[in-house]
Amino acid sequence: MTERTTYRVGIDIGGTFTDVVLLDSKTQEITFGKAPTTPADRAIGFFNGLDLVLDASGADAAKITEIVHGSTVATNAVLEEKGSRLGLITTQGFRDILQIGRAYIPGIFTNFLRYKKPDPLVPLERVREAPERMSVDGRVLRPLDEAAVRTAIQELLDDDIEALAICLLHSYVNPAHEIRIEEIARELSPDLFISRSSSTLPEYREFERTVTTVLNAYVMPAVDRYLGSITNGLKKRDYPAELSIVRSDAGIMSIGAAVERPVNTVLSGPAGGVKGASVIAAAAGHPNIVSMDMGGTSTDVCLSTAGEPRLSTDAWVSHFPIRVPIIDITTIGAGGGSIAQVAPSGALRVGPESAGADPGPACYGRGGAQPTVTDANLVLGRLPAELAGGGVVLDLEASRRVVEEGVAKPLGLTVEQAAEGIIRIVDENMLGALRVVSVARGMDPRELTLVPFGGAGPVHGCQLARLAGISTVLVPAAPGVLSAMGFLLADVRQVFSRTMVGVIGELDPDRYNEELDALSRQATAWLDEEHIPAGDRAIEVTLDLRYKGQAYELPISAAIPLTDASLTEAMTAFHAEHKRRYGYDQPFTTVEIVTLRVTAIGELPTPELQRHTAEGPDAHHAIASQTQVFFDGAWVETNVYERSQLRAGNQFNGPALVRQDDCTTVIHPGQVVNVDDLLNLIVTNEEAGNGN
Amino acid sequence: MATDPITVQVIANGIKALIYEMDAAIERTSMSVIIREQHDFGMSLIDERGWVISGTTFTGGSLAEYAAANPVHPGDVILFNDPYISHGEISHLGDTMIAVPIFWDEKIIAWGIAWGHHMDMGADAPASMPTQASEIYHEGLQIPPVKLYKQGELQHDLLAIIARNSRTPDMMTGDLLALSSAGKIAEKRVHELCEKFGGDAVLETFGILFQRAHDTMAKLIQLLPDEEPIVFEDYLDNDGLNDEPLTIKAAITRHGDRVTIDYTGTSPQCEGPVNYPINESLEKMGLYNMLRLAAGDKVAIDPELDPNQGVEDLVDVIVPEGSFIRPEYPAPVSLRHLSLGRVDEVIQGCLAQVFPEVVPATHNGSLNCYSMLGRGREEKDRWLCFEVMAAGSGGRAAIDGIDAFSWNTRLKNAPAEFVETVYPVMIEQYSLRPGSSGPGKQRGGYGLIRAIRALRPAKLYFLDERHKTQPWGLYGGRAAQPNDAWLVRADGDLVKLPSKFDDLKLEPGDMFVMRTGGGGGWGDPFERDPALVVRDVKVGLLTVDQARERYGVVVDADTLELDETATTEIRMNSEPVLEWIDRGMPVDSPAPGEFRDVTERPYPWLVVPELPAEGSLATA
Repeated sequence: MTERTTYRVGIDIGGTFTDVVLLDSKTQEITFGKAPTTPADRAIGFFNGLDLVLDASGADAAKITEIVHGSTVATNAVLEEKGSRLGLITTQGFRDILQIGRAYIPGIFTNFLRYKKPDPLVPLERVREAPERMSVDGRVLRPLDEAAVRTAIQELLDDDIEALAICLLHSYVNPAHEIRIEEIARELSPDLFISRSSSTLPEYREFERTVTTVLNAYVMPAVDRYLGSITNGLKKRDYPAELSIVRSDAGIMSIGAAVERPVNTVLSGPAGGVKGASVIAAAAGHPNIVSMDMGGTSTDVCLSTAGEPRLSTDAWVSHFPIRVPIIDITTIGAGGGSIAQVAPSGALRVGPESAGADPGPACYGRGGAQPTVTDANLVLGRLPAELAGGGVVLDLEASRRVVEEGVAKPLGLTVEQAAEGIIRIVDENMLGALRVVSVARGMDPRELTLVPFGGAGPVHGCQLARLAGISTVLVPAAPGVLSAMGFLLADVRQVFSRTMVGVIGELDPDRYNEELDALSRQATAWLDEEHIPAGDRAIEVTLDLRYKGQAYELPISAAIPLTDASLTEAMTAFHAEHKRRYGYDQPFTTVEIVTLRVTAIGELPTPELQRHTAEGPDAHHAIASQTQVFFDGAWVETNVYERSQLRAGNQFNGPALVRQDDCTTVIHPGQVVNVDDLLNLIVTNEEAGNGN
Repeated sequence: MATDPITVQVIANGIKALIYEMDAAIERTSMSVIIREQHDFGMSLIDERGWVISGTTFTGGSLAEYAAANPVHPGDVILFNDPYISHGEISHLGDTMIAVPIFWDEKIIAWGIAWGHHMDMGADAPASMPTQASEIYHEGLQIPPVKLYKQGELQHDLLAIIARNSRTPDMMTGDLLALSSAGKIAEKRVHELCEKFGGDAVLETFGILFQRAHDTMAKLIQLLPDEEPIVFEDYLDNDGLNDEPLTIKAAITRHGDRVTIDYTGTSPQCEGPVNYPINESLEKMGLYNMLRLAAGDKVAIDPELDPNQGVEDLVDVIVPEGSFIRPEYPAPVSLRHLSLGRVDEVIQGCLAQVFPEVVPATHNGSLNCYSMLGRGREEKDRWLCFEVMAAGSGGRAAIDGIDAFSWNTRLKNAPAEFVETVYPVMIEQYSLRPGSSGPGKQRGGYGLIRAIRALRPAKLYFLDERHKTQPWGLYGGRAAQPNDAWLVRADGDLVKLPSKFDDLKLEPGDMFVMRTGGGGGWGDPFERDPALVVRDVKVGLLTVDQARERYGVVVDADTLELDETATTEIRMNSEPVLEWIDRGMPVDSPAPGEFRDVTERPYPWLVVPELPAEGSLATA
C-alpha cells in the first residue's frame, strides 16, 4: 500500500458509453462514471468521463499517476474500413498474396453462386514486388535489388500513401532485406508510417503474416492521431498522468509501443472485461472461469484458467486473420437486440440479425417492429420497466405486441410461451457456443465458474449455467464497467516470438538457446523502456509444439536454457495436453518445435480489492418490491432486490431479480444467492450445496 | 405426443452445434495436410437408415446394410473406404469413412460420421490417386466396412495393417484416431439431447428436419418448367490412359411435383481412373443445394435450413448401366473427383438456362492436384508433398467471378512458407495468371500460377482436367483460358505436360509450373464498364491488346489511360453475340504419355528468374 494518495484511472470507450473507473491507491476506494461516447471525436467523451469521476470523487487530477485506456480506434478503423491509404512490398512472384489469400470460400459447395470476395486492404495498384529471395533457413538466394525497391517506393509515395507494409518470404528467419527496405523508405520519406513483418509478427505462414502487417500499417496513422490528441489534451490540462494502452492479450503497453504496433490493440476493450472478470473471480476463490460478456448485438465468451485469460494467436477481426496474441474470445451473434423470427420452414430463429441500438428492441419505442431478446425478457417480467437509473422507460405493450405477431401467432403459442421460447433458443445457442469454446479447448464447463457481465449477461447467466451443468455463477459488483475496472488490473506485457522449426531429439539445443537469449534480451530491453523495476519483472518462455507435419501447434511452457531433459519434459507435457484437448495422443510420433515465444511481463501494483465484513444472512432489507415473473411456464411471485443494499454475507433464494443501475440479474427458482465479501453475487443451484 | 416447437428447435440447434464441434475437432487434430490444411473432409449426423440429418452431405445407406448383417454394439467404430460396397457413398480409396453408431434404448437411432482424404493409402501413386490405373487394385488398400473399435477397444492389428500400407503411416494413424474422436462427439451430444428431452423428441426432430427440407425442395421444384427437359452436356479431356474425350450429359425434367435427373447419353465405362460411381442420394442433395442458392430468393424458404436427405423422395436419378458414372467392379475410380466436378458443371449448365440471373458461367473445371514424392534410399528422402490449387470461378449476371477459387469450397491452399519448411521444394512464384479470365460484362475470375522447384530428386504426379476445352462463358460472356502445366528443367529446357501423368522424374532444380484456368465470362464483354477494363490493364492482368480484342476498350500503350472516342467507335461497330453459350475452341494439349519439348514460353509466364538461384540447392 502506498503512503501518499495517488489515483489510477481506467477508461473504456464502448459503442454507447465511455466507462471510467478511478481508484484511490490509499483507501482502495473506487469511483465509477459513465459518459456518452462521442463517435466523431472520441477524445471528447474521454475527457467528459474523466471529469465526471473527478467531480464525483473530489480527487485532485494532479495526483493521477496513470490512465489505462482501452483504445477502440484500431478496431473501428478496420470495421469501418477507414484506415490509411497504404502500400505493400512483397517478394517477387508474390504480389497477389492478398488477392489470393488462402483461396478459401466459406460455406457450402454451392456458395460460389453468390459469394463475393472482400476487397483486400491494399489494392493491386499499390502493391510492389521486391526482387529478392531468402531460403527457408535464412540464406540470401537472390540479393535485394535496391534500385528497383527505391523506384517502387517512390512510385507508391507519388501515389500518396500514408503508410507502408513490408512482408517478404522467410523474413522471420532473416529480416535483413525487410530492414534494408525500411531504411530506403525512411530515406525517401522520414515521416512515413512503416510496418515491417519481421517486427510485427516474425512467424511463418506468409498470408497471415502479411495481413497482420498490413492491418498494423492500416491503423497506424489513425491510432497515432488519436493518441496524439489524448496526450495533447492531458498536457493542455496539465495532468501529469502517464497514458497506457490496453493490449488485446490483456496486458498494457506505453503509447510509443501502441503507435508502433497498433494491431495489438484490436480487442483492447473486451480484453479488459475478461481480465477484470478473471482477477475478481480469482480473488473470490474462483480461478477457473468462463466469462460471458453479453451486449446488444453479441456475446463474447472466453476461458480463464488460474486467474489468467487464455490467449490465442488464431483470431479474426472482420474478415482478416490476425496472428498476434489475443484473448481467446469467441463471439456469438446473440445479444439483447437479437431479432426473433419464424422462418418459412417453421423454425424459430433468434439472431444473428440485431435491432442494435437504433431502432433497438420494440420496447425502446424507437420504431423497432420485430421482437428481440430484450422484448421477450420484458414480457416475462425479467426486466424492470425502467432502465439505466430511470433514463429509459420500457414499453411493455409494444413488446407483447411484437412477440405475439412475430412468434406466438405463427407458432400457435401464448405470448408468454413464445417469449420463453425465444429465451430458450438464445440460451441454448449460447450453450452450443460455450461447448465449442470449452470442449474444443479441453475444458469441462462443469469445472468452471460462469462470470456474466455486460448489460445483458446477468439476465441470462444463471440459466445458461444451469443448462451447461455449471454449478456456480459469479456476478461481479459492477458488471457494467468491468472492462474499465479490468484495465487497472492488467500487467505490462509484450510477446517476442520467432519461428524456428526443429525436431526434438534432432535439433541442437544450443542454437535454440542462442535464439531464446536474443528474444530475452529484446524482452528485457522492452521492460527497460517501459520503466519496470527489476523486482516486478517476469519472463515466460513457451514453445509452440506439434506432431511433425501437423499444422496446428500447442503452446507448452518450458524452462530455459533448453536441455535434452527439459525438451523431453516439454514433449511429455505436449502429449498430455494433446490428449486432454483432442482426446488422443501419439507418443511415438516425432514432435517438433515451431515457434519460440518469450513474454516480458511487468507486474504492476494491482489494487487490493476492497473486502467487506459479513453482516449476516438476512437480505430482507434489500427487497425493493415484488413482481410477477414468468418461469418454466407459469407466473411466479418474485422479490426484487436492490443491489446497492445487499451486504456481504446476505443470502436469499430464487426466484429473484437483482436490480442495479446498468443491469439486472435474474435468479431462477431453485437457485441460491450468497453475497461474498467482495460484494459479488455467488449463485448456486440448490442441489449443488448452499453457497460458497 | 407432439413435441413443442421450441423444444424441436432447441434440439435442431443442438444438432447443428455438434456438427460445428466435429468440424473444429477434425481440423485441429487430423494429421494429413490434405485434410487439415486443405479441408478435404466432412462430417454429418445420419439416421438409422443412413439418411443425412445435418452436416456436409454424405449418405450412409451402406451402414444400415452393414448393421443389418452384422452385430453392432455401443463403442464400436466402423471404418471403410470401398466405393463399390458403399454404392459410391465413398467414391475413391483415398477417402475413409469413420462411423460411430449412436444407441438409445438399445437401438441404433443415428450415426456420427466423419470422412477425410488421407495423405496416402498406398497405391501405384501417392495420395492414392494414380492416373494410370486400370483396376481398383492399383489404387490402394480397399477396406470394406470393418470395426476399428470394438466396444471401445481400438483394434491395433487393423490399424497396423493400414499404417503399413501407407507411405505416411503416422498421418494415417493420426487421421483415423482424429476422425474417430469426432464421431464420438456426435454420440455424446446426441445422448445428452436424448437425456434432456427424451429419445422420442429427438427422433421426432429428425423427422421434422427432413420434412422441412422436403417442403423447401417441393417449392423449389415448382420453379422448373413442367415436362420440358433442360439439357446440357460437357466433356472430360480423357481418362488418363486413352486420348478420347468423355461426355457427361444430363436432362433435368419436372413432372408435376417431382423432378428427374437423367444421365442418359453419358459415355461408357472407361479403362482409366476417371470412372465415378455416382450415388443417387448425393445427386439429389446436390440438386437441392444448387436450387436453394440459385432460386432461394424467388420463393419463401428458410436460408438457414441445413441441407439434408428429406429431398430423397422428390427426385429421381437415372444413371445408365455401363456408363462411366456407373462402373463395374473392379474398374479404377481414383480420379473420380474430376468427373464429379464435371457432373456438377453439367447440372450448373442446366440450371443456368432457368436461372440466368444467378447461376454463373463455369469455373476452370478441375481440382488441380500434384504430388511430389522424394526418391532415394534414406528415410529423409521419402517425403511426400501434395497440393490442390485454386483457379477462377465464372462470371455472374451481377458480379464478376471469383479470383483464386476452388469449387471444393472448403479448400485452403498451403502457405509457401509451410510447404518449404516441411518439404525440400521452393515455391518460386504464386500469383494470379494474367489474361486467364473469361471476358464478359462480368468477367470470370483469374486463375493462378504456381511454380514449384524440386530441391532434391523426386517424382512428380499430376492429375488435372480441362486442358483441351475452355471453361464456358454465358449470355455473351466468352470462354476462359483452360488449365495447363509445364516443366522447366534445371538447364532451362521447357516441356509441355499432359493433364494426367505419374512418375515423372525430377532432378534438383527442375521446376513444375501450373497455370490454372480462369472462369468463363457472363454477358457481352463489349458492355463491360471501360474503367474496370483499364484497371485490369493498369495492374497487369490484361495487356493493351487483350483489352482491345476482348473488350473493345482502347487503352493508350504509354499512359495506360482510356481512349474514349476510339473505344466508343469499336464498340458501336461490334456484332452482338447471339449464342447463349461460348465454349471457345478445342485446345491443343499433349495426349496421355506425351511430354512435349517446346522452346517458346507461353504468355503469361513467370516474373521470377527461371534458373535456380545460386545456393538454392546447397543444403537440400
